[in-house]
Amino acid sequence: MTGRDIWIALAVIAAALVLYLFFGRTKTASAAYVNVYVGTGGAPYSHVPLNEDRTIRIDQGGGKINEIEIKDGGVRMAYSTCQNQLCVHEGVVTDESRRHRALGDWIVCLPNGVSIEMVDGP
Amino acid sequence: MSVKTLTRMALLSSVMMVLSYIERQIPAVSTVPGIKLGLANTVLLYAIYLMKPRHAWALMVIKVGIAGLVYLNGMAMLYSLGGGILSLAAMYLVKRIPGISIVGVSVVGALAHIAGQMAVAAWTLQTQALLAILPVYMALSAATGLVTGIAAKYVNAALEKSGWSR
Repeated sequence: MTGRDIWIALAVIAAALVLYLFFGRTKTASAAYVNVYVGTGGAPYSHVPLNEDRTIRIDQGGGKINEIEIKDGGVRMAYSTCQNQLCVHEGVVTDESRRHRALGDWIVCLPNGVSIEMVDGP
Repeated sequence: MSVKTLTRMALLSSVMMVLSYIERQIPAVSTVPGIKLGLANTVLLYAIYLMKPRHAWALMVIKVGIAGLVYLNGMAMLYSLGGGILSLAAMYLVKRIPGISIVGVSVVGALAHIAGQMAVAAWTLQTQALLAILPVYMALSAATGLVTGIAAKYVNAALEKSGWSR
């Protein structure tokens, strides 16, 4: 190992520090995707970017219907056939609201077994 | 390609696969996505210093191809290829600078590998969120680069002494 090797390693660490100061704090928790789960366990029913507006309609038959709306960087349960309507009243999850909502990244409809989760990155 | 070179390439390929497997068994390393010790890079460092460039490039493609099929999915394989190409190119470039030993080359290789992976990932996923974790990966690459570089230094010295490299 030569002196220049050490300098290279130190330069890499210094560059990392500089980059951290620039980017590390600004973009730490940018919400990028929405996972939708139907039923228990397993892979997401749907996995979509938060920055593309769309409505996802889930009809499980037997009158179990949910509509999830992604709009302007936020996701909400727009419609549900469940009795208590708690999910609809859970409001919009955005990158900002997820920090102080009781359920954080989640919107859950227990009666219909549909849950929505906001995740960082794909 | 002579039979000797062919045999050596085959042996080095399998050594890379074994090293990839072993480093995946280290829990602290394998649980965080994207972070690897880069043990297989010792083989590429060997090839860079003691074989022809085309052999080193071929070994890199073989590593990406086989390790990709065995351990990764298609997307991760693409990141791995991006990292491999940038890493090997950077290592050959830095090797020309006088006063830099195999350890420095290894550090640059590790850095270029994560940079290449990140570049492909940022491009395919169209996201800048990766920039936030890039500094962490960069600092770690300096450390892993030092470790694999020092390992490669002793491996190369031992193999040269044994006459295996001739």
